[in-house]
Amino acid sequence: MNIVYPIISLGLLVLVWFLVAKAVDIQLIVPRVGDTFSKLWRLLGENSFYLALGGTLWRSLLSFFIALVLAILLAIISNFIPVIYKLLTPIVTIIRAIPTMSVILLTIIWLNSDYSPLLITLFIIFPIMYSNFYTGITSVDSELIEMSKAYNVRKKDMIFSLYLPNIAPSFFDTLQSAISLNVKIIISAEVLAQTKLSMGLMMKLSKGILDTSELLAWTIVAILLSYFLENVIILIKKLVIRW
Amino acid sequence: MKKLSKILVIVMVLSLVCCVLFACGNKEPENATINITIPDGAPTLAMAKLMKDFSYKDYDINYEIVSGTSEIGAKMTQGQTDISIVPTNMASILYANGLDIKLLSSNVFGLLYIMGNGDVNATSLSDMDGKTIYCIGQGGTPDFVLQYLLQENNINATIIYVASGTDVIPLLMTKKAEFAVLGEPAATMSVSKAGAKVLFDMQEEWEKLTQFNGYPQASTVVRSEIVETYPGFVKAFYEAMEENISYIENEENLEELTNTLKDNGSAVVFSSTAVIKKCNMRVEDCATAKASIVNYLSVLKDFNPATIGGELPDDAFYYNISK
Repeated sequence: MNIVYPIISLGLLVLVWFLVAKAVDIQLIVPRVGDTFSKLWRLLGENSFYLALGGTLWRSLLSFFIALVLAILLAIISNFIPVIYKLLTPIVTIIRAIPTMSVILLTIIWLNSDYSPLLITLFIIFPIMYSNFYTGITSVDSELIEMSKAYNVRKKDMIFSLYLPNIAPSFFDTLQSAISLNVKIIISAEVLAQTKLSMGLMMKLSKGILDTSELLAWTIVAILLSYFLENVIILIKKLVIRW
Repeated sequence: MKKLSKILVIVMVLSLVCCVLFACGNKEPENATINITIPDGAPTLAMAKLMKDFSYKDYDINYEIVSGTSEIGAKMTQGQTDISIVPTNMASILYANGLDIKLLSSNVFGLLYIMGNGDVNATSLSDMDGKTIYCIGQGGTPDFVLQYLLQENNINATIIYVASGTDVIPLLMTKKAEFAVLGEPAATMSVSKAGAKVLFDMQEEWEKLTQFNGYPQASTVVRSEIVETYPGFVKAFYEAMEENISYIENEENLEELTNTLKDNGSAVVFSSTAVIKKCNMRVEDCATAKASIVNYLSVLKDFNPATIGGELPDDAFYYNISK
C-alpha cells in the first residue's frame, strides 16, 4: 500500500516533465524524458560512470562519518562539561553562518581538489549534527536521570536503558536529513573543485558540451544515491530500535 | 451568422494577402531591435568600439555581457538574443542541435599560453616531457589544443585540470605547479601576481604543426532570421567589427574602451594594450577562415566528437559576407 502513492506522484512528475519537454521542444533547455533515460542507460554501460559514482559515494560517506564522530564526541563532552559547550557554541554559530559558497571557494584555495569537498561538508554538516545531538542528550528528562541516580542504577544501564533509547529517534532523524544534504554539498563542491572521479565533474563536463539530457541523467543518479543512503539509515534505525 | 462568417473569412484572407505582399516587398525594415549577447573576457573586446558608437538606421541595438557561455545557447534558441560571439566549437554544437544560426566571422584566434613558475627554465616543448601540466577548460579548447600539441610533438606529460585560471595562479606562486596553460588576461596576471613566465605561445606551436595562423577559438554567430531580414545591418555590423580591431589595438583608446566595457557590465580587465594584442583578435570572414575552422574542429573532433556536436557543420552553417 505504501508504494501506490509514491508511484502516482512520481508518475505525475514524469508526465509533467514529458509535456513541458514537448511544449518547449528545445533539447538544450528541457530535454525529452526518453533522451534522458536513454542517456542514463548508456552511462550505466560505461566504466567512468561507476568510477565517478564510487568516488562521490566514498567522499560522501567519509565526510559524513568524520562529522558524525566529531559531533557525537563533542556533544557528549559538552553535555558533561558545560565550559566546553560555552566555548564551542560561538564557534559553531560562526561556522553555521558562513555561506556555503564561501566555504567552497576558500577550501579550494587551501586544499587540493580531492580533499576540499571533505572539508566543505564538514563545515556544513558538523554544526547541524552537533546542535541536534547536544539537544538530544540534554532533553533526556532530568527527573528520570535524578531517579536513576537515586536508585543507584549502574552507569552502563543508565546509558543503554535511559540515554540511548531517548536519544535514538532524534539522532536518526538528524542522520537522515544530514546524509542527503551531505550528498548535495559534496556534488556542488566537486563541480567547483573539478575533483577527479566524481559525479560533480561529470555534470560539469556534460554542461561543457551543452548536453542537458546527460546533465539531467546524472541528476537522477544523484537523487537515487541520496534516496538509497537515506533508506540505509532508516534500515539501521529500525534494527537499532528493535534491539 | 452565415453572412458574418463569410465576411470574417474575406477579411482574414485579405489581411493574409496584405501580409504576404508586405513580406514580399523584401525591403529591410527601417526599425528593429537587435540583441547582442557576449561572454565576458576577450569576446567583449570585439565589441568595444561598437558599444561606444555603432549605429545603423534607427535600430535599437542592445549589448549584454554575461559571465560564461551557458545561457547564450538557451537565449539564442528562444530568440531572446540575435548575435553572439561564442567558442567556435560551441557554435558547432548549437548548430548540430538544430539551432538555426549562421557563422559570420571568426574573431579570436587563440589566446592560450603555457606558463612556467618563476623557477622553471624550459626552452622547448620537450622540456615538459614527463612533467605535470595544469590546464584550464577540461573537455574544451584549452584541453584539446594542449593534448594536440603534446601528442603531435611526442611529449608525455600528466595533465591536471583546474576550473579556472585563478585556481592555478596560487599554485604557480607557491611553485607547486611547474607548468600551466592559461588564457589571457589570466596569463599576464600570473606574471605580475605569481612571478610566472610565458614559456610557449600555443598559437605559434599550433602554426608549426598546421600552418594555420592560430586557431579560430571564438566566432560570431547570428540567428538565420536576422541574416535574412536585416542583411544591410549584418554587413554594417561586420564592417564595424573590422574597424574595432585597430581601435582596440591602439594604446590611446585603452582607457576609453576599459570604461566602455565596465559600463556595459564587464568584470574582466585588460591591463594593457599589449595584453589585448596577445588575444590575437582579428576579423576573418567565412571565405578566409573556413579552412582554419574546419581544421580546428576536426582536431577537436578527433579527441571527442561531442565537443563539436558530433559532426562538422555543413556548408549552410557559414554565411559569407559579400564584399
